[in-house]
Amino acid sequence: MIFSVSEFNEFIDEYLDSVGEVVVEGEISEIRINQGKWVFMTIKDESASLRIFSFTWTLKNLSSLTEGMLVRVKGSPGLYKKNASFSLQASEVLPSGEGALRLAFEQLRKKLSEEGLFDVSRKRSLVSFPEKIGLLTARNSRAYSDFIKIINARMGGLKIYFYPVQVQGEGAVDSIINGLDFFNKELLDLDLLVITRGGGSLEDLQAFNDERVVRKVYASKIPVVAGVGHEADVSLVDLVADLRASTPSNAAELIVRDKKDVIQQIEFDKKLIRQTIIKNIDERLEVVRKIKSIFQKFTQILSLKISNNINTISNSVNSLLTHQINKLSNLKRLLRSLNYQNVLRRGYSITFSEDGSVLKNNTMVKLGDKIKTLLYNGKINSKVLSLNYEEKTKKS
Amino acid sequence: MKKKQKNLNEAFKELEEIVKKFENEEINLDKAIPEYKRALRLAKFLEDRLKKMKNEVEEVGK
Repeated sequence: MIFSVSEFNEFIDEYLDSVGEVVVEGEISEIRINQGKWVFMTIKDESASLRIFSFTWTLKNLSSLTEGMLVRVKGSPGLYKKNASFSLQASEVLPSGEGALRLAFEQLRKKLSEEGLFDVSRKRSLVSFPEKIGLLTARNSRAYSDFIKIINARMGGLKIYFYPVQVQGEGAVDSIINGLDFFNKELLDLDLLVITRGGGSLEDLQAFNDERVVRKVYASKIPVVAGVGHEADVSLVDLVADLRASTPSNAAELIVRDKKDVIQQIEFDKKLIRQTIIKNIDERLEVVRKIKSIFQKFTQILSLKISNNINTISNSVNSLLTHQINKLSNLKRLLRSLNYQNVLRRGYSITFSEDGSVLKNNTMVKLGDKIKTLLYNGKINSKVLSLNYEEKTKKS
Repeated sequence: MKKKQKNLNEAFKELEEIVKKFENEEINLDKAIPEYKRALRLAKFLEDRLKKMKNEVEEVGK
């Protein structure tokens, strides 16, 4: 049978119609949109490529498709009869593998973020020295051994309640949820929970991006520390946790302080307090010294003033005393001069009547009276033998 | 009556509060000495606990 070109192309196109819808998986190597209507895409694998054709109104998720993304294209094979170019007319292009997971992750992240699950304001602070910790990770895993090793090196006195969970694959989600439920029912007095696993692909970490797990962490009454994967891996559990660690080892570093640092801090604190007290005492002593110095100066000035005053007073007193002494001396001399003994010594005498009165005139006696005469060195007893009167002018 | 033993968190918090008072340097010498003694007791308690304690792991849930 001999076909013309158009007959042959028609024949092949009809044949391809009978294939029906297929799904082809490949990596997008090229994607372009023509006149806002037609979508031309090429997908490839290691050894071949396939042209994809569609319309912008058919592919609703067009904006999320990017070159390099692994996709699954659902469509019908067809031949463009004019030039026999073969393509798959796509009714649907969905991310496959990591691409699909990444897309789902972003969509869920956006949704939960809008609900407020990741708000910083709801993050709880952790105690400085946790004493009871819950640990959710895989038994015999590197994450477990790394976490325990770092914890033991940094701090002692911890009670760690280990709930082994599946961290990837089928059953991981339920396993993690069961662990969270257990701690929130049976061990509510824990200081914190640690959820951790080592690095892996996005698919490996999928359980920690599951909405049920994320909501369970959100609802935990016990603060949660999450350390999922490596530094670059940020799971939704990391975002909803009260504290995110980059790795299992980092989780241990974040939840407990190194006891060497704490002891050093304590020594520093003791020293600071001691130095503050000493400084305070020194300052007060300095004030006391200054006051003492001022007082000493004042005392010196006062002493000088007092000393000067004493001298002045002393001089005045001396002067007064001297004057009084001189006065007394004069009086003494006067008294001495008025002493009757000195008068008698000069040759005078005093005569007394018999009754002891001093005879001042001769009318005080009569003839025959006995009289006594006192001289300087003794007395004379005598009798009045005669009386002679003399006219004297009375002194006024 | 014996006082309830402090846990590490309470002891450390109290020590830090005492240190903060002294950092502000507004101290009353009459109160400072008893507080310093208290700080020393807290420091010793913390250091003793930190140096001596080991960790314990218990598997649960099964």
